[in-house]
Parts: sequence; C-alpha cells; structure tokens
Amino acid sequence: MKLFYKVLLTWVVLSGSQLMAADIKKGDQLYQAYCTQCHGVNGDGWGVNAASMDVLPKDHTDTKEMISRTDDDIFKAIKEGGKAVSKSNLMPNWDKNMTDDEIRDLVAYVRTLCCEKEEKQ
Amino acid sequence: MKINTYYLAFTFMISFIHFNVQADNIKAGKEIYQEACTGCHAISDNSNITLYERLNEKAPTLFYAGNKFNAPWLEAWLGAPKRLRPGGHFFLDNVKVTEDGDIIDENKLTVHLSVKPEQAKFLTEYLMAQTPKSDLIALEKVTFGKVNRTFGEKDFHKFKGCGSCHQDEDSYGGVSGPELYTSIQRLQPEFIASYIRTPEKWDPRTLMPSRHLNDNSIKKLLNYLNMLSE
Repeated sequence: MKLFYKVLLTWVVLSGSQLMAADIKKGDQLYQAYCTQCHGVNGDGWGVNAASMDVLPKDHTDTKEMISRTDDDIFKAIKEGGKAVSKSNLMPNWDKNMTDDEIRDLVAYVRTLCCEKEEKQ
Repeated sequence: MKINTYYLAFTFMISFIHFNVQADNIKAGKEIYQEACTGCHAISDNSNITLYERLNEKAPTLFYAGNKFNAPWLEAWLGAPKRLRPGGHFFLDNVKVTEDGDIIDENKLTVHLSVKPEQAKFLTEYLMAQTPKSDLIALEKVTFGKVNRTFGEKDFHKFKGCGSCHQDEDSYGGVSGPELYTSIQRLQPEFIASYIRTPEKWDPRTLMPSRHLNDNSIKKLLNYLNMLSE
C-alpha cells in the first residue's frame, strides 16, 4: 500500500511539473500558426476555413465540452489527428509539424481558452 | 570524315553560344530578382527557418523554385499575376473577426507586381535554375490516370481533408492554403506528389500537415487535380 502511495505521489509530482514546464506563450504562437485557420482567432470554431467544411471545427472555448477531454486526449488529437480520438478526419495529424514538447505547449494554451473561466470561479 | 569534323565543330559552337546566352539570361534574371523580389521573397536555404520567421514571411520562399514551377506557366504569370492564395501568404495577417465567424479582409490583400515580357523570361530562367531539392523530385514518378469526378471530389474534401484549406474550384474550399484548381498548370506533378508526401522536407516549418498517404492515395489526388485542369 505504501508503495502505491509513493507511485501515486511521484505521478502527481511529475504531471504537475510537466504542466508547469509547458510554455503557454509558445503554445499561443503555435495555435496562431496551425489552429486558427479552422478553430478561429478566438478559438470558437469559426476560423476562415470553417464555412466550407462538412464538420465544424471544435469550439475550444466550450468549457463544458473541453473539460470532458483530458490533456492526453487533446495531445493525441493534435499529434495523431481527429480519427485517433474517434473524431473527424478533417482534424489532421500534426506530428510532422510540431515536436512533442511543442504539442504540450499547445495543449497548455488550449486549456487557457476553454477553462480559464472555470478556474477563476 | 571532314564533314563530320565540321559538323561536330558547328554543334559545339551552337551549344557554346546557347550556354552563354542562357548564362547571360540567368544573370539578368538574378539582377531583376535582387531589385524587384527580395523585399518579399527569400531564396536562401530554408532548412533552419524558425516558426517566427515563417510566420513573418511576406511571400513564399523561392529557394526551390526550379523544382516547383512549370516554366511556361511561371513566365506567363509573372507578366499577368493572379491571386493563388485566397487568404494571402499567411492568412492570419488578413483575418477579420466578425459575428458570423472569421473572414479574409479583402482590403488587406496585396497585389503581386507584374513585369514586362522580357523581364519575365529572364526571371523565369533564373528561378528555374534554383533546384536544390532535385533528389526529392527524383523519388517521384507520376503518370496520370482516369478518375471519377464525384469520387475525386469526395476524396479531396471528405477523406483526405485537403478541401479544408485548399480550393478545388473558384471560391469553393478553404482559404488558408493556395488554390489547387490550377495546380497542374503551375506546378510540376512530381513536386505536388512530394509535397503531399513530405511537406516538411520542403519547408521545415510548413503549415501543411503530412497525412502519411501511400502511393495510391497520392496518385488518386493527382489524378483529380489533373482532371480539374482539363
């Protein structure tokens, strides 16, 4: 049992440090470059390309929807594409455009769009 | 025997003159490029470009122009340029946020300068001499085949997602990438195939994802693009 708590504590510390290590400013730049074209400048899913798409891009400001997704889900969707998380194939895989660290920065930035309101309450 | 010697000397002389004329044209093209194009286009090696630099580019790199364009199209276009990117080189520079969603602010889009026919000829010769990525082109073998229009369109938009960023007909499709309904006229088919396969090998900070398509999938897309140009 002691070992279980030790492992759990290590996991929590590591997860926390990983989140803190993520650079939201860099994530913001990556979001501007790769995501805004579909997800919109404000992250509301109404980017310049959205009008002609069969499936509307996800609204990253939708707190209720976004808190149901873990950081790992978002990471996987960005890296491997929507299909990898049972979502639309129109969300492409960005694995050749960003490193894992950059994707983590991007995930941290996406969290500021969806969930800052929640955290402030 | 004597005739053959004369013939060889004549052929050599013609080749020599041709080579010198071509070299002169490339030199003239370089001078025009330096005077008219460097304000917006880079032509140096982009292997180490940062995302910040990429986002602040005013126009596409011409580093590998000779591996990319079809020379006759390029020469004609330089004389009478038409917009290829509905949203500009980097869409975000031209976005306007509205209540109905983000749109491209047409007032922010700039017009490409045009040059005289002789300048277009020299510029084209200079640009077509820029071929640092010939090894990537050599890996591609493109032969066009038949395609069903309905299937091609579905493949382009729904299955591969190309239509999210690119238009396959005027005003239909995404606006952040270059239109593709004239792609076969303006681009070498091997370049299109290679850019679909490994865009990051052309532009390390490309805004286009690599969708890990196999040969058959790339061939289907090229057949569709070819059909659009007919």
